[in-house]
Amino acid sequence: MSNIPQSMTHKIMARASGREQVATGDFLEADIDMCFTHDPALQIIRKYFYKEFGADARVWDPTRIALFQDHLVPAKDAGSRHLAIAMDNFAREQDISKYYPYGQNYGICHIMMCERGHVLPGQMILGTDSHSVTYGAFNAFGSGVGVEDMLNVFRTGKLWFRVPEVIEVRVEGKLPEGVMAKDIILRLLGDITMAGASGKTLEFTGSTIENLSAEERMTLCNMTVEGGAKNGIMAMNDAAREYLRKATGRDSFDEVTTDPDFEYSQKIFYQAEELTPMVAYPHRPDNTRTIAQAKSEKIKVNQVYVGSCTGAKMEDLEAFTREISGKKAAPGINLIVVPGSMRIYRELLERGMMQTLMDSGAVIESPGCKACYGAHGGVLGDEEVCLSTTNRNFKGRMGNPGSGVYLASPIVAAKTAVAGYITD
Amino acid sequence: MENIITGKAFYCGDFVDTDVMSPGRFEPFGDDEALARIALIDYEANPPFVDPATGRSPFTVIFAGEEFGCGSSRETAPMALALAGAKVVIARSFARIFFRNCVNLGVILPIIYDHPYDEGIVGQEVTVNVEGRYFQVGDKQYTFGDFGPLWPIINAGGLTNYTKQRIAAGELA
Ligand code: SF4
Repeated sequence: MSNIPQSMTHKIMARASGREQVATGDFLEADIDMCFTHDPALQIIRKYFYKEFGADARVWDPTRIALFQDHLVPAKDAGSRHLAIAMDNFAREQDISKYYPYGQNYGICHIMMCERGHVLPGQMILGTDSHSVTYGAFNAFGSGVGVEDMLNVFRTGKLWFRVPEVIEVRVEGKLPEGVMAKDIILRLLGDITMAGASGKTLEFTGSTIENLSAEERMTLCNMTVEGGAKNGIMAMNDAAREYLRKATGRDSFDEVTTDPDFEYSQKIFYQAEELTPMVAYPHRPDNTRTIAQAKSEKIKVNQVYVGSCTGAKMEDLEAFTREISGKKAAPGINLIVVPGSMRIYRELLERGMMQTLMDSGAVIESPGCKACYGAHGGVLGDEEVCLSTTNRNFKGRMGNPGSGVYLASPIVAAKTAVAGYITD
Repeated sequence: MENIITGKAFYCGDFVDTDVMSPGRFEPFGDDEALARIALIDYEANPPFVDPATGRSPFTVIFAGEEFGCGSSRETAPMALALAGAKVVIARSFARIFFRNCVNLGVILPIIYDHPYDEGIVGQEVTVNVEGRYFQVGDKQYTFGDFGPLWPIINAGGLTNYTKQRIAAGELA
């Protein structure tokens, strides 16, 4: 077989399917290294798992499955509670120890997957949630799949894939003060649109990415799915290695890199110094404007929401707290902070950030998906406006189709909360 | 699914979404009869995909443009096409979830191919030879990529059936 230059995604798929190399467009069956599901999906998976595979069916490997309660805890109604109970049962029946129910050790699935060391470079990782693309921050293939896919993965540990085309997004230079990874990804989404990376890989390269912190890398990969990407990925850097050492206790990792002669299907380039804070207007994450444009429109907000797998990691809250420290949210604004996990929540407390946030007028809620997807608090009234650090602002995503959600970074969120209108 | 599929061609343009294939206003969709009847009902074409007189489609192979099946991930979309009578979609590209649903449900063979056809193809005879990996329109033959592990899944009638077959055959623990 002639030598086909491989991207890092190609190499992960080749290894997982027992091949030397793969070609773009190939179909293959891969062994899955790690997978997870969360409260809204587990109940139905459990039901069909026993129905299809038998009442005494066992998962292929309980150590490679994680279960999270994040979308509907603490339960808002009996139905939500039944989801949690189904998960309790499944974890017990199948001896799944990587189980994070509501309590002292829970949080949003994607943040938890990284924080608890369930992501390793070179691995194939699947979740029943579209933002499973987050794990590319640690040089893994992470992707979201449907319930039918996961049902079979639970039983077999295998799933079929098509080797994707790869788009390179190269960012060089030093980001200006006040510009975050959120701004890079919003800029990219505005440029390529929501269909721009459909079914493809978005691979990030360049010196800006090499110097990015671990959690900022997570933000970038997390929102690649808003461009339709199958996965987002990047080479490891020192910050990512340090993060994983702490999370996993391991010293070395099986990292993968892209061959120098690999042919990207498309190349996109940004000079970091030229980037500015960005805002996505209702009702699409690719409906972006620069902060200068948004500021000129004096868009008044009723609520500022700091939360989600995109915008409530420790660094997001550090940036937000730093920015709002000593200031006060404008009168009449609901300022809601939802830490991504209990570990982050505890750290806010230990480092005194809780005090700073409360002094600024913020209400700190318990961790979880909450207002990010509109099912659990933080719903807006008609015509009301929210500036949010989340990832999607589709009509009604936050619970009311009559309201408008603007997406931006934690820094813009803090400045907006203080000013009362969108600003930097 | 048979190895050799023959039938008439239908054509869909770019970005035909799952709402057009099985519109939400018909939910709940009712039985198979009812779902077949509304397949591609919002895709304007003359003749339409489904013949209102029979409630079935005279077309077996759909040629499509880019991102066929984009939009929400409803499984009723490929089901509706299949129940109406389609067996193959040959598209320049598919939306990822729609493609996965076609295979996982084992109802439609989704072939990714940058074909040269447009509305003019409607009604022509097409032959698809799955194991030979080609499709034929008139005297023109086009070779498509290897389906690899996907063909046994589609053949088994979907992913879960395939898994059960493998377990029964002792291939999986
Ligand atoms: S925080 Fe929002 S985007 Fe992230 S997993 Fe939860 S609902 Fe999904």
